Amino acid sequence: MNKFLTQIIIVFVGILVVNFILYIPWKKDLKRYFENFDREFEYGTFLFADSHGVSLRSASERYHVHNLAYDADSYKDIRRKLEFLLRNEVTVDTVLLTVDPHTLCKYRDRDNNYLYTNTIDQPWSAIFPILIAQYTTSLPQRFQMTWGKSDTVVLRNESNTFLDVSENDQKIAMRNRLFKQFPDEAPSIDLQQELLNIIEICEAQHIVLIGLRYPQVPAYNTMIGDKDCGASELCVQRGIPVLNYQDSISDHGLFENQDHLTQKGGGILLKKIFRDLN
Amino acid sequence: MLYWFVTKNSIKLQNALVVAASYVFYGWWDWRFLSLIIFSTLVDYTTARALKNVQKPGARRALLWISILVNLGFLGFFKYYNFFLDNFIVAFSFFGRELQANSLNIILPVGISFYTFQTLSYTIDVYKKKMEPTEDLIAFSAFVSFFPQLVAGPIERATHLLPQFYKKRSFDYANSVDGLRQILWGLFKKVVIADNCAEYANLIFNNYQDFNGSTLLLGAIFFTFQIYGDFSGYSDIALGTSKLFGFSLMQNFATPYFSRDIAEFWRRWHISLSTWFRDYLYIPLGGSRGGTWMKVRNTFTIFLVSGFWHGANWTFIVWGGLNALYFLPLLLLNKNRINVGVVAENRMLPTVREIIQMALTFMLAVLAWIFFRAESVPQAVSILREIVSQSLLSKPHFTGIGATFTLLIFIGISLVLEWSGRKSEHSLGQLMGWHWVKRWTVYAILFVGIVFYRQSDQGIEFIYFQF
Repeated sequence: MNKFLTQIIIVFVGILVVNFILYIPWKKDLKRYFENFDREFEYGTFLFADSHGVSLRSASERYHVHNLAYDADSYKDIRRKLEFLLRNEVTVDTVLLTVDPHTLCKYRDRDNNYLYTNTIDQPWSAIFPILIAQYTTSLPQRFQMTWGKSDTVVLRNESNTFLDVSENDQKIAMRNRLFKQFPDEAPSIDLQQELLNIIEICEAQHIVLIGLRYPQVPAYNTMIGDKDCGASELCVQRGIPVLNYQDSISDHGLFENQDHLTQKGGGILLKKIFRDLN
Repeated sequence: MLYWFVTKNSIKLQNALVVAASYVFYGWWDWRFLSLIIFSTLVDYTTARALKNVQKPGARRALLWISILVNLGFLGFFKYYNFFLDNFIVAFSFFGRELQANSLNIILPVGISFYTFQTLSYTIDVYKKKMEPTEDLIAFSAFVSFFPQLVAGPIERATHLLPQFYKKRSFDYANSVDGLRQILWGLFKKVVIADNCAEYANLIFNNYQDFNGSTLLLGAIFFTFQIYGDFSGYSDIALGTSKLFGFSLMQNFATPYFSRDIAEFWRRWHISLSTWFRDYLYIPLGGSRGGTWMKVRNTFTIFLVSGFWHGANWTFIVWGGLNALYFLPLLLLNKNRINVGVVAENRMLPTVREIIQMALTFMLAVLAWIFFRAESVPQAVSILREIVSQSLLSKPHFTGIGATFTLLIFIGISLVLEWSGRKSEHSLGQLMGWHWVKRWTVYAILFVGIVFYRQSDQGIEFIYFQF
């Protein structure tokens, strides 16, 4: 038994060494993520969203909006970010919050989320990157992108637009997205609670909360139909205004893929939003 | 620690700890369904004890039927109620009668197909006087709910596992190390091979209308590796975990994709279920003792029932039927037991003839898996139709095909390890005699795969959890 336990300990030490090696880039990434919202803020308007809001980033400052959208942020991430800002006594007057049909769906609760904000609630995850599959599995791809060619499954390309994708590949990409986003329409109970938490925080802090539904290409809107996990409905029930831009842009040249705008598209959307808000 | 240090001097305490751990493990998923396991345990424990005291054949048969009806009743209700209801409605509407009936929103309790078969085998064995009924309720509860194999097998026989709960267990270094190796191997097959293959198989099957024959065939091959990695990976983890507790479970997979004919494949795939059906269905039906018609009937019966056991969908039944069709020529020509040993037993490499045999058997399995994976029979048929069309000769293409390179390397590594370890219970069993540098190199490669090429933090559920 002693020999067995000794060997187990040796293996654990080995795992800790690997963890330490992974910790070096992980710490850098964390720093980069947090410096986006752990800083001085000039304006009182904040935009919180998942990847749908990222394309609005370059134009946001022009409209005096701090864009804190991040690739796969969920309502849990957004609630944590908002609380973080308030804890640090940042003035928040207005919150522009994504309420897209998929944002309450169960997959949001399962995949891709909480990568960085977990470290706020669970400090241990800041020192054990080896346990975070979402992080470790991204490393080979980053390595490939740095040192070689990469062909990823995710259809996102900054330089090209959805126009450049063949019709067949567009169809496949849309159907995959649909399967991923809406395997069923039952919302995640946890995320529903997190959205309610955000609403309550805003009410308590007298923050103006506005829901946003981001544009999608017309064919994807048709494919989705009335599938909706209910974020905007929940907001409307609580008296939160929701601005719906789902059908507002139809030019494929302004989309990276079926539901992500290009930077140019993001600028056009912001213009529309502020025209409507004013 | 608790098991080997605190309770090591008392078998009863160790068994109680196993039961407690198993119930916590199962209850974690949904505590309400613990009552099912406990009820099933009590029914079979009581029935078997009653069988000992009753000598009249009629009364004994009645007791056996109580156990069968309770166990299969649970299974039938939770797994097949909606299937039968829907098919009755369709059948009646075919004759011009409209039936009004509501499907129920029934949650399938995880592992129900596995533990009901396990408890059933116990009562049948006691009925057939192959074993004495146990007096020890704790040991029997531990046998029914043993957590490593509770939710997806192997489906253990009482004659094999139950006696292990009566014997004093002592820690065995070599056995425990082998258990850890087997867990590592199972984990690798699940999170690296199966989960990554699932990504591509799902992509292709979910969009089957948009792909040419060669891509669809590739999708089916990905699924072939997915289901093997998923299920055999689970079995390896179960066997390895059991070894850490001093138990030996039956081998469930024996390199099935190196089989030279479909009969051999079925002796190597999901062995615990195949042998269960052989012993409790095929042989009682007469096995291969009768005439040709009886052999054909019995073969089709076990394959169709085996398909239906997997799920309440016609796709599984067709999958079973297709395998029966594959099996039939071998049975009729009396060639179903010509490939009994391990392929290339005393050689490093197979002969050309063996390679062709293995490739053909593999392709037959791939084609059958299309029915297993498809959402419906018409979907499977249209996939097959495209595969046998001219588009099979065109280049496979799907978004992200370039990213499959790493996965193919890992599949290659696993095939090499499986081939070289085909005589062992599991592929890493062969490492026992290797130089430590080579051994640790293999561990490191598998570890790198698990850390850097798994799919997600939450993981993808094992396919067989739904059965």
